[in-house]
Amino acid sequence: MSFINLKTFTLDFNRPLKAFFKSVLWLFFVFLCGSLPVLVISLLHYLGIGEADKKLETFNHDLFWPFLCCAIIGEISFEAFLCRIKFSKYSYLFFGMSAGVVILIVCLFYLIFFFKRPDEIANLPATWIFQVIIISYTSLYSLGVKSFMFFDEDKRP
Amino acid sequence: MTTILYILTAIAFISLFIGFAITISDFKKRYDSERKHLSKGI
Repeated sequence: MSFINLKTFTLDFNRPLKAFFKSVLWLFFVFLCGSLPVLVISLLHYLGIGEADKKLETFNHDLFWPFLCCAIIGEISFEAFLCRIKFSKYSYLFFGMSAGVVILIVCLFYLIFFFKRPDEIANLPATWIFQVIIISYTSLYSLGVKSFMFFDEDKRP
Repeated sequence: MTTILYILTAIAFISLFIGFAITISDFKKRYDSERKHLSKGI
């Protein structure tokens, strides 16, 4: 049984599942495009060309992943705010609040990294935990909000 | 500082789930009314 109708290039799922599937695809390609610089340098590191190790360390020190997540959260929030789909005012309130809090966390992170010395940063116990939390939050937030948007967009006649 | 970050994380996740719950119930109502409207048309 095929889930993709090749003649019309549409998905033969029920509507919520289709919206979720589309949002998974969207998130995958956004992360792929956003992390292209790191992927290119990782490839150079793998091939042993130049000083890719140092560049990768710089990317980790400059908090590349929270930066990417911040950009995705901002994009999704404004897209949800400006699109023609009407969310209720409480949805806007809670989504806005949660996105704002996460952006505040990322800002606090950057402040910590700005004021501490590199050797102290390496000893911070929870750095990677927060990076994982921010990445998983971004995935959840964008999957959810994008699913709602695709769901409403996909109205049947 | 770490405690503040944990508290902020908890707030973010709780408000995200509340937002999801509100939006899902809202969309469910809309979806049901849409289906009723379609079945009346048929």
